[in-house]
Amino acid sequence: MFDKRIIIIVLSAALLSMWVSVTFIDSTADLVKQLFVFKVRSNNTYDMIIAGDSRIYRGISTDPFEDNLGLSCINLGFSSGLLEPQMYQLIDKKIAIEPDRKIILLGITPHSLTHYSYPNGHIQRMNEMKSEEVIDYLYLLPIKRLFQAVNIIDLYEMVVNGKTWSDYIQIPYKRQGWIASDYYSRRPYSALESYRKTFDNRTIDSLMLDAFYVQVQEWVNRGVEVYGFIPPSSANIESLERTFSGFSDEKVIKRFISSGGKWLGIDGVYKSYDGSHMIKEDALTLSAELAEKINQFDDDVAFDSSFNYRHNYIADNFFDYRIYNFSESNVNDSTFSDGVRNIYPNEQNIPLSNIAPEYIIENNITKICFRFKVKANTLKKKLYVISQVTKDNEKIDYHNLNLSWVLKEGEWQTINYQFDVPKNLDKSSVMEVFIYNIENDLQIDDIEVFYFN
Amino acid sequence: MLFNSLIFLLFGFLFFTLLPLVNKQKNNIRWIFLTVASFFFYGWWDWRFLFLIIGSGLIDYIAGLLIIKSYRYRTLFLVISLLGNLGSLAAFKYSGFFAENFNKLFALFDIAIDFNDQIPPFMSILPVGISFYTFQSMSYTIDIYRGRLKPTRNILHFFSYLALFPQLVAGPIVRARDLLPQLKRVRVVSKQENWNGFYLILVGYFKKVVLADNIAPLVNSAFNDVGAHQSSLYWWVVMFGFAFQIYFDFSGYSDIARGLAKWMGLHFRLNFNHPYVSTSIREFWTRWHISLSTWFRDYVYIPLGGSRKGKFRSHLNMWITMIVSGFWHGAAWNFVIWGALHAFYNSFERVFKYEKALKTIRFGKEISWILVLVQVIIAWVFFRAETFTDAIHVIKNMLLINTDMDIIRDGVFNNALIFIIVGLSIEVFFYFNLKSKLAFRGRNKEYFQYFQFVLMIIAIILFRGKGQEFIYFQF
Repeated sequence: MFDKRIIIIVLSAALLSMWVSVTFIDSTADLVKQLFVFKVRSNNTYDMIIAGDSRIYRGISTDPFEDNLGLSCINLGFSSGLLEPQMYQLIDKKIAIEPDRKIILLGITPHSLTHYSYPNGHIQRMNEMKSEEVIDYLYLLPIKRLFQAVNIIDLYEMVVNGKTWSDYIQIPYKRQGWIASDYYSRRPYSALESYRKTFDNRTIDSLMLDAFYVQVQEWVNRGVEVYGFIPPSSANIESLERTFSGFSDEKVIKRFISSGGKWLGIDGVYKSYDGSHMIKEDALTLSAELAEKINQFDDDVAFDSSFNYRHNYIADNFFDYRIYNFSESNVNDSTFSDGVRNIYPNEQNIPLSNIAPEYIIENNITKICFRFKVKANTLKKKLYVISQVTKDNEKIDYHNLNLSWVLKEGEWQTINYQFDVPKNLDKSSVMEVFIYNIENDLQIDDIEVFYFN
Repeated sequence: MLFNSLIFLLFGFLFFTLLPLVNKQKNNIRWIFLTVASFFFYGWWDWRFLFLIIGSGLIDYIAGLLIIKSYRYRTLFLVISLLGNLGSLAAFKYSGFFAENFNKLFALFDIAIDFNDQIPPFMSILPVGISFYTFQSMSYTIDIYRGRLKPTRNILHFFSYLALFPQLVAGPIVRARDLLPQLKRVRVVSKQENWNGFYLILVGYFKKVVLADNIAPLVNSAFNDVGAHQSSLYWWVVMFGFAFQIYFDFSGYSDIARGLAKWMGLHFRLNFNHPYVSTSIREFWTRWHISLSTWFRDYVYIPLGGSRKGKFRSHLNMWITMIVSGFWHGAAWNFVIWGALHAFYNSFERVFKYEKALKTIRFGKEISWILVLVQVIIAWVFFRAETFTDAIHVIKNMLLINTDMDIIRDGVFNNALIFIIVGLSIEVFFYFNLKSKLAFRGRNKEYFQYFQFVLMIIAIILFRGKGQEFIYFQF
């Protein structure tokens, strides 16, 4: 085994591999996994725990809490994290026993209160991981990163064609349990499809909700301050989640407070990269805002109907922009002036607005947003809202939103749709926004158009 | 412990650092070292099952001694040894299968009994390598009974042979009469043996972690949902993929085991000899899993009468041997069908002797080669499919022409395809015996080997697939 030739061969091959690995290969996936192994399998305890689903582990940094409150803190957010026994056990394992002040901050989303046959699979998988693998991730990862494996096609694409590993920007902060996230090119509707699938046949589990309040009460009785908030999401996702899950913000919050929990309303405006999760900068802003609210929490302020318990945030939200115009008059008057517009199954393309390019160019408009209410009486086949710009009969820009991901039959829902004005727009271009409908029976109302520059 | 794990690298490093120190000893220290290291290697997976190896091993060790000591009762002691081995196999590997089939049988007579409930939960865990070490252990007592081997009196010698870690969990199945004398010899490992061992280990790792583990995702995804794809090309690629996956996975393990043995100064016989270059099914079985084929030949086929009792009995004996071999691989009807299918191919070949006729025509050898490949691949479908219905569905898709080419956009498919082509190229290289034609001799060979070794290590590190267990661990 210890032949000189063998040692030279192994060392030279190892050095070459290290060079390739360090120079070309992205190790984010391993670092992300290490972060979750650390959350579940390390024995560290903390004064403050922040728990929830992916909106928590992507959306909350613990640094502002540690700075503002002077407490050690970890983010225990997990993919599809549910407020279920696995999560409670982990929180109990992680929260320190000794300190006078102990805090649990819970991010409550409709999804976190729904039933799964294999609940908190992410936590369970980490718990079931063999000790050997845990040691690899917790202690040997720096060495393993020197010898990372790569998919041969990915390596070819990157070295030869200069492609990036992924469109996903993820910066894992292991000590915090936070993954700062973004897309290189943001896609405000990309999360909709998976959420829609998640909420197919899945509603809030009332037994689970009852058990949740009992758990909150138990923590409070043990002297833990339990805070709750609803992690912000985009308007379309919020509409989808509430329509399908039966989640009522007001009821959830009231029972949370009556169980001894303290509620944190959110005032800020945040940006999302996929329609569900926040970008890094706004995650830091929200974290600072929550830390400040906990610091200044006033037990005497009662919760009532005027309480600002939730704040929609919209992917690449409107409100960062000056509203240039806001009225229904931009819409084809003859079609929509009479209020509710019925769309029958045989109607395929229904224009929402024909926008004059001169108007866009002259007013330096960069973004256009539509907000309208839709009710699907029957949902059978394709249903999209589409925006497209054509020039000399050639498409120069095209975006769409699949409405069947968001809508539920028989319910009025508000849709937000936005798109950037293409830079190569000129006065000869044709700009259209329309609903593409195949055999669905719909009603549309209250169309609002926002122009931003 | 898996060969393809970090902990094994550490274990191996410590083992081979300490081995030269104890290898010089003629006393029991080296035997204790070999036995304890091997038990540690096995116990890392689940220490409780060490008791099973030790228990069944003790039966065979004592039976071996008693067969010689009490000649009159030697058959009884052999039967006890066989019952011990086959009993543990039946309990841990086949109890679920028998229970399920008895349930179905009784259901035919409207009797509702659930035999599965009677099986203790710990028996639902299949001890890693049980089929290998029980066969190895059985050959020990059978050889003593036949007078071909003297039993060892030192229990450490026996367990060093039975549990020797390189081949413990997935073979090759080594006979005591081959290994015990080698173990007893105290010798220094030569430079050439070291070098050859290194070569075998690298080749083994390359086959397992680069080739087999990169092909595995395609095969797994295809068989997880056999209804998802109808394309004929897709299924042929998947099945070619599986043929190479199982070959590289298993022969990779054997190569690593042989390489490690070389570093210990031992010689294990070749277990795979490029089976896919075979031009007849008979030849295939002289190249595929040689240690198992010869085990079945010596301990099942020949005792049944082999080919000594006429043509019909010869076919019948071969069918029995192949079916038992299929059943050895797994407790499911699919494996039995796989064995039976190979028996059918063999009989067909023996009766019609078409491969001999083909060799007389131009490109006949190549036609034979393709025919054997197709037969073997069709049989692999039964080996890999979860159910008989799945297997038929896959074969239908392979045989009915469907030119759907959507698959070429699939990343998993394309990645696996690259490694299937690499695997195919390696086999073609051996089929045309290019090694002897190219400049792989003399001084060039040495330089080429340096280059080849460096490339293989880089590939093992950079292009290793997602760590998967060796397929044959489940058998």
